[in-house]
This record gives sequence, C-alpha cells and structure tokens, in this order.
Amino acid sequence: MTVVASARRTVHVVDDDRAVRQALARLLRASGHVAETHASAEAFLDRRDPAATGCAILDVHLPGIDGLCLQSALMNAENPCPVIFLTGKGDVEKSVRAMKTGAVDFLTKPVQAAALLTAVDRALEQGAAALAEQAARADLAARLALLTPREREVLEGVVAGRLNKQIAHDLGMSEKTVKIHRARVMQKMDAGSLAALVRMIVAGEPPRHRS
Amino acid sequence: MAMGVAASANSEGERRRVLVLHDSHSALPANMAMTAGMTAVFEGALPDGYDVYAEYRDGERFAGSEQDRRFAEEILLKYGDLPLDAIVALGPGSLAFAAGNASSFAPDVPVIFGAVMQEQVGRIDLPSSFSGVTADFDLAGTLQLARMLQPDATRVVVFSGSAPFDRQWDATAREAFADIRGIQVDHVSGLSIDGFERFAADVAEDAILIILTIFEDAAGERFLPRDSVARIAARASAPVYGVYSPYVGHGVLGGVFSTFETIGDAAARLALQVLETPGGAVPTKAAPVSAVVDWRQIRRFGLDASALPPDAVTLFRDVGTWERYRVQILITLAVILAQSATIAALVVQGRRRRSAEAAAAAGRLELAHLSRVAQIGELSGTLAHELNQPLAAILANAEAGERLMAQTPPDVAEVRAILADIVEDDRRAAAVVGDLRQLIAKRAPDLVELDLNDVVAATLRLAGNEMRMRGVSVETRLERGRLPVRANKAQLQQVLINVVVNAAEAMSGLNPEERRMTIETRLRSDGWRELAVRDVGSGVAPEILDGLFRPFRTTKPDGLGLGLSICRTIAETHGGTLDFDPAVGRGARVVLALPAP
Repeated sequence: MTVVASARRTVHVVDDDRAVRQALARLLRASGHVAETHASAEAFLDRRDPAATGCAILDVHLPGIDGLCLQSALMNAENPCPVIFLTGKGDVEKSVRAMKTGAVDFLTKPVQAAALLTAVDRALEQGAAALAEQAARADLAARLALLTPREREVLEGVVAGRLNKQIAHDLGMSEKTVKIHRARVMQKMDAGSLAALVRMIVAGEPPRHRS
Repeated sequence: MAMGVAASANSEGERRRVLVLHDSHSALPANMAMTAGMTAVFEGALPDGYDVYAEYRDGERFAGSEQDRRFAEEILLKYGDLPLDAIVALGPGSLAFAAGNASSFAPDVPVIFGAVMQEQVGRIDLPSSFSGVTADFDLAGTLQLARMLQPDATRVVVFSGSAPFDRQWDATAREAFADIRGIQVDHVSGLSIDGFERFAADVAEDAILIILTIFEDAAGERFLPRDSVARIAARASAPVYGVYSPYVGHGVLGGVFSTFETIGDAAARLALQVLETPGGAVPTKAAPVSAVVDWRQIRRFGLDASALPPDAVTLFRDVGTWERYRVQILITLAVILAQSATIAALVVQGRRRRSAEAAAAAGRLELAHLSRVAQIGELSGTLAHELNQPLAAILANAEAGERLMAQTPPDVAEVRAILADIVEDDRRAAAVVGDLRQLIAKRAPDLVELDLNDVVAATLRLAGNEMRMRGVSVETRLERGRLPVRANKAQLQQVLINVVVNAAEAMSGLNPEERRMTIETRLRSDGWRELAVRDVGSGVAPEILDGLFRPFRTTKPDGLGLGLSICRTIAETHGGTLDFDPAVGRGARVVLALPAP
C-alpha cells in the first residue's frame, strides 16, 4: 500500500561505486519504488529538483562532499529530504552524529533488503509528513496575509481568549464592529469554529474540513 | 618509607630521573611524538639507565592559577622523595606553569623547555636557570610556501579558535603577517566549528587558508586541534596550511615547522647537556624547521609539486589502501568469491527459492564474520569500505533478482542484466585472486632496504589515531641510528599494525591510564634486528602460545584468527620469525626478528 503512495516519490541513491548504486536502484525498483542514482553528492545536488519529494540513501564515504555534509545540506534545505546512511563499516562516531542530525537510519553494507526497504518506507513517510507540515504552514501564512491590520488585532484578541466586549474596549471600537471583523476573520481563515481557529493559530494546524 | 626510596635511588648513582611536564593530555599526538623523540635520545645517551616521568597539566580544560597550585601540590606529593635530575616543560602552558611553580615542588632542579615559540618565551617571566629549545613554527615561511605553490593567490585567510591558547596564536599570526604586502590577509576568529567549516567551504578556490589552532570554538565546544582542523580542511574549497606537524595527514596540505619529533629530540639533547654541566648555563636555541607537505593534498588541489622547495619533506606520496592492506584484501576476496558464486548460481537457477534464501542467509552470516577479518587491519576503515562495496552490490543484485523472479511474468531481461553484473563482480574478484595465488605461492615479496625505525614511525602515524581512540599510550624505545632490513614496507607495516591492534585489544579491559604499550627496536648481538611490542594486558596462556599462529585460532570472542597466521607467514617470507616472548612477566610481548640485509 505504501508502494502506491511512494511510487510518485523518488528514492535517490548516492554512492561512488557504480555497481553498488545500480544494484540498490534495481532492488528498489523491483520493490515498486522510483529510484535515481548519483555518483557523488555534487551530482545529486545538481540534479535534484528542490520541489520534489522523496528520500536519499547516502554512502557515508563519498568523494568530495561526504555523506554527512550532504545530509546537513539536505536538512537545511527548504524542502528537507530524509536521509538513510549506508556505510562499509560500523562507524559509531559517525552514526551517532548522523542520527543526531536526524538521519532516518544508519545501515551497514552489505545491507539486507528487508532492512533497507523498511528504512525507505519510514524515510518517505517522514518526507511526506514534513511536506504536509510545510504546506500547512505556507497555507496558514497565506491566509494570515489576507487579514487587514484591524482584523489581525481582533484575531489576536480572540486567540488570547478575550471576550468581544473586552476586545472592543481594548481596540476602542464598538462590540458590533468587533463581531463584523471576527466574522471576516473566520471566513478568511476558513475556520469552521472558534476552537478550530485557535488550534490553527496556536498549533499551526490546517483548516480541518479542507484536508 | 620515603627515606628508603631516596636512599636506594642514591645507591644506584647515575640512574637519571627526568620529569616531563606536558601541556594538554597524554593522548595528544604531539605529546606522544615529542616523547618518542626524547626517549630515542635518552636511550642511547644514558647507559646507566634513566626514568622518564610524565605529567599533564591540561591547562586548556583546567585553567586558572588555583588549578596550577593544586597541580604543583600533587607533583610535590608524588615526586617529593625522588631525586629529580631535570624537568622538561613542553609547550607554553607547561613553561608558564614551571616558571611560576617549579620552585615549590622541585627547587634547584634545572628546567628545560621545548615546543614554545620564541615570541611566547618573551611573554613569560623566566628564571635564569631555565633554558630550552624554541620551536619555530615558521608562519612567514608557511605563507611563503603557500605562495610558491599558489602563485596566483590574492587572499590569505587565517583561522583561530576561542581558547586562550588559540588567541595567543592569533596574536602571533597578526604580528607575523603585519608586514605582508601584495596579498590581502584576513584574520578570522570567533566562529563556531560549523561557521569555520562553512567559511572554508565558501572561500575562493585560489585562496590560501591558514588554520592556527582551534582548541575551542565560539560555541564553547572543545576539540583536539588536529580534529577541528581536519573537519574544516575536509570541506575547504582551497588548500589549508597548518602550524603543527601532526596536522599533516589530516587534510592539511602542509606548513613550515619543526616536527614534534625534532623538538623532543632537541629538548632531550639539551637536557643531556644540562645534566653534564651542573650549575653551568646552557643557551636556549631553536629547533630546526622544514617544509612538510601531504602529497595527496597537492594532488587534490592540482598544484604544481615542482614549485616545492628542494628540501621539502613530502608525505603520503604513494601508500594507498591497496598497498597497505593488500594481503587482507586478497584473502578476504578469495573467500567472498566462493560465497558470491554460490549466491549467483542459486539465483541463476531461479527455482528452489527457499534454498536460495537459506544460502543467502548463510552467506550473510559468513560475510558478517568475514567483515571482522577486515577489522584485523582496519584502522582507517577504508579497507572494510572497499570490501563491502562489491558485497553490497552482489547482495542487492541477488535480492533484486529474487524479487523479479517472483513477479508474473518475471522480467527476464532485467534478471539477465543482474546476473551479468554479478558475474562481472566475480570476475573482478577472480583477477584479484590470481594475484593472491601468486602471493601465496610464496613468491619472494618485493624487498627493498628499509630502516626498521622508519617503519615503526610510519606505522605509528597510521595507528596513532586508533591508539588514541582506544586510550592506549604508546612508548617507543628505538635503537639509535638506522636499523636497516630487507623487507616489503607494506607487509611489514601490516604485521606491526596487526600486533599493535592485538596488544591494544588485550588491554581494553584495563583502566585507560594503565593501557601502556611499548614498541622497541634493537640490534641483537648476532646481527639480527628485533622489533618487539609489549602490552600489559591479560597475556597469553603458555599452552596456547603456539597454536595462536595457526589459521582460525583465536582467543577473541569475535575474532577469526587469521591475523597472526598471516603475520607469521609474512615474517617467514622475509626470512625472519614472529613469536611470543615466553619470558615476559605481565601481559604479552610479541617479537619480530629479521636477518641483516
């Protein structure tokens, strides 16, 4: 089932050994994934579509920019790409560093298909979740941008739990005007209820009935 | 009790006692190198015996005058009853400490200092009884070297860290480069390690990067300077030059400096001079400097090596992984070949998948076991990496093949391609096995005349980091002068690495401060050359001593037992022997004996 969902996402294999990256890509494709291979971190960064989703399987020891550096580059990117590390040896120090900076897994070569595919599924899920969160944040920002300064002030009051009467007093307007602003805020923010509006602002959740 | 110690010491008469005070800690490569340089001198010059004691002030981590006072008190408690003949203070921190405190724990004992720059000596108020060897870390010379190699450079960037010691270096560099003309000089400090890394990655390719020391970054994270420099150098887009010799080999292209061995050597010679002239003043002098470069870095940045000064020392010219670990790679690949051939054959048949899976599982177990063989000589980790590449390819291909065969209809064309690749990988291995056969056929290895002491030094450069990580302190007692043998350097190094790693493993159960290893070379009276590695670990029971050299014998829970057997074969192809010394007390002593060339 994840196969269908992940089919549109690409698993990038970055390894300087042609035989290895080709074999891994084959294994991934035979398991229903879309796989692309890259001989170096530089090649991957050059060819990567920053808007695309997916994950990357990185060899720790790469010529030029090494796996750990590439990982930090990817984590700092606007659209983060979850990383699974492969290494020829059980390098404790490096694996700790990698996991600390958010690697999905750190696997030792030769890697068993089951372990690799489990890690890939997890990485793709993480990537999708990160993307959804990002989309939600962007959506929220876009909605907030629609509000007038006055409406923003009203929104702040509402989220802070103040009554219409209090907001009217704070902002020096009539309670009726507050109600009008409030209705516009609900509409522009696409919030079904007061609770949904507060959740949206406080927790960054997207409008429920649209997702 | 205390009286007794003092009396017996006096009755021995000429046995000399030298207390060495180090900056930083015992695992710092520089400290180990200086100790090696010193003991090599003492070994030859003090026939009546000597004791070298070492204490580590570690002032970067335990700063302050209160810490100084406590340290001085400890030394007094520990050495107060021993008649010390000399104190050697290595590094600016030790010198400052000795200048302020030596009178409290060892009045009237001469102090010799080393590994301190001339400028730094000027900043410390020295008693007249102090003399020493100033290290020339020739910053101007280093920049000159850089400009010879990079004549088109327009900018010099100088990095330094945030620790007090780092800032001293920064001050020194600002002074040294104040009068530089014709090139822009920028001093960069106050960054975190990541900040330095990013800076180095973004710098123009034709720039010259000089990294002084980074004991601590702006975020308060602490490092061995070599490690911080190595991290930055690994990402730098321009060549990196350093100020200490241990940096070379860790991503630094080079520099002009006294190597720590020469500093240790010069300090020890000065100490001898002081011992021979009691009361007489011995003048302070400078240790010799030379340009030292890493060949791999010259190649990495495509620089013109012919621009190097003729007396430059070029390191790492040609020792690749292959040369270093040839025997291990060959043997391991031979066994792997058999395994992968089995897997391939089973996939080709495409039926009896169950048995194929069982064989693959067994193969993986075997491979896991074999990858431990790789660990025998695995110091940089590159060996395992290179071995695991073809293994990973074969395994992934085989498992992809299994999956494709399970589909209806199976993608026969793809499976065919997979099989071709597996065959190709095997063929690569087969070519290697051809070489292995020649090797095993006891064809005489490529022998050249080598200095056994050089082999020890080169091996320790390789294994130094590994020993540091394992918390093992290594002491070398080398025969003075050259100790020529006819040997294959790579194979000899392999033997030594194996024995040294074994010794370190044997001591893994001890507390770090007890993990001491001694490497000795000597010329025997019968003309044979001997190299001995001694540890203080659990030792080897006499009844299994001999068996240990047979293949597949091991006392280690996760060992395969090939290491010593390979080592002995190598010793024998050199006309020599490799044995445990049965007469040793605690621990084990492995002796490699080689005939005169």
